[in-house]
Amino acid sequence: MRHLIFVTKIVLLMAFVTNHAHAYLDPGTGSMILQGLIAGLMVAATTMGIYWQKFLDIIYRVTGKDFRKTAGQDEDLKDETPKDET
Amino acid sequence: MRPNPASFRDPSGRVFESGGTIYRAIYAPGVEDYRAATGDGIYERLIGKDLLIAHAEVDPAEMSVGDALVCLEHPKIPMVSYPWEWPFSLLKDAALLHLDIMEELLPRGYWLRDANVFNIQFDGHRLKLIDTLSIGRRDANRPWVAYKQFCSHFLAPLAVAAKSDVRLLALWRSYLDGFPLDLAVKLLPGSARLNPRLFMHLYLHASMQQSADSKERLHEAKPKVVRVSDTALLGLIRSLRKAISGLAYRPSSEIWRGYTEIRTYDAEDVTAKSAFINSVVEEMDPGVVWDFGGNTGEFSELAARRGAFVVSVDFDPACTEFLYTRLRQGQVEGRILPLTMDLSNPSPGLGFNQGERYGLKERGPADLLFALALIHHLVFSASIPLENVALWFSQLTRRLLIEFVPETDPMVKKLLVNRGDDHLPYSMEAFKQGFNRYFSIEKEQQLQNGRSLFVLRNNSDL
Repeated sequence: MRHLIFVTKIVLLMAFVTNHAHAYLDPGTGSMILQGLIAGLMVAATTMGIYWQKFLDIIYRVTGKDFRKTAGQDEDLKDETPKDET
Repeated sequence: MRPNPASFRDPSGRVFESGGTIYRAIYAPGVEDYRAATGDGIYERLIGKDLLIAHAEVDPAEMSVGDALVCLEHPKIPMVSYPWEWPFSLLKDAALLHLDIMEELLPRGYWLRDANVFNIQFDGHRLKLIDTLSIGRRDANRPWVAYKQFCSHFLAPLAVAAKSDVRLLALWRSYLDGFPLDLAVKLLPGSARLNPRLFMHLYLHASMQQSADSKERLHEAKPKVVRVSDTALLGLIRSLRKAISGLAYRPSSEIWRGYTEIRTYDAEDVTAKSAFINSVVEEMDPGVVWDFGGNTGEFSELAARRGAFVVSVDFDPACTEFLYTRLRQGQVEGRILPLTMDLSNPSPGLGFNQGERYGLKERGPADLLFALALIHHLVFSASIPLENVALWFSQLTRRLLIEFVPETDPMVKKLLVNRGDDHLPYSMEAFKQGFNRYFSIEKEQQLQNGRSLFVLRNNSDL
């Protein structure tokens, strides 16, 4: 359920809202929309990754075979927490 | 206080120069971000990691910098250079530097407000972001304002150079705001579409840009902003990093065999030539040396080792790439800036009012210019008379270390193999006649192979 809310939030976040950018640089309408699409893909990939890991957990529990990844699922979406916060 | 002719687009601040020192005035629109980043230790962190140029605050009231609220003093970069002159890997490292900085900034609530290739400079050791005001507080959940600029300034040129031809980096001279994406995708081979990241950031990007632009032209578009979370934005940055990291320039193996293997004269002459150059550099102790026709930088290194900042210029992008790669790997002692340039068509002044980007001449003068085994190429390959070459050099340097290669030399004969005798005057007599007008001979040494080395002093003060 938590994940369902997460995904719903993302879909809502992706909705277009009227807003002016505060930048001297023109970010380009097409570029901004594309970033929204890429953001959606990134989040979808992460969500799928989470469910996939859960599926592999079940497989492990039922069959005893471990297919789970030990490292990060996707390099593009590694934890963004600062490594050496000062 | 002289305003920098390239610093006028961002209302947050402006760069000035006075007495060889660089100052940055920060005006009202940029002060809040500057104060916040200072308070949060953002600049200190990036400067500490050698990613950003250092600064120290000075009193704006004592500077003639308009109604600036803050004024910064920066160390001066020895020589500004541009992407149309850079080796492929230097541009690639500049792209990765932007992404490194974004990854440092995003988790701390900041980002880069632009991704402008001209904000990165190489000081002979390292690449650095030189625009302090590029760093701003991130607008929460907003897409990266500089994504389009990053793709045009970095991903598109690098992809075109890596996948099609490295010489296409010269297109920068025409497109100072980066390669238009619709043009870049036309220049890429069809197979580039199969790379998912290039497809997404270039092909799809170009297509969406064109579609949005046509709607804007028809006044159908409403101002829209898509929301992008921090996690998604980091994902975008990492996707761009993978796209950039996957691009490589592999010069032909012939060049990479090494200059020493393809030289036509023997080791004794090379030793005598090196000894002469060493003695000249040691005696003169020049601050800035320009090595024209520097090849893979063998003689540039001699000067760099003795403390000079050396600009090593060569026509062949494989040579400058080789030198830059060695510099980056720490194999070269001293500071060298390798630049790719056709010396018969050197970099001109470009941009608005032809003043935004300096021509080569405006970035001088050099204290000492090396023209070793070069002028016969200018005379025979580019058909430039010796006297014109002499005049040009006299506008660039205080002293000249020049090698004259006689008509009987195998390299000259090779250049003339299809030309016969129908060429511009070229002899020791013509050389001395041409150069005596602008320079005086200080030193002269003949090598066993018949070539001669001269140290010439400019007759006029630069």
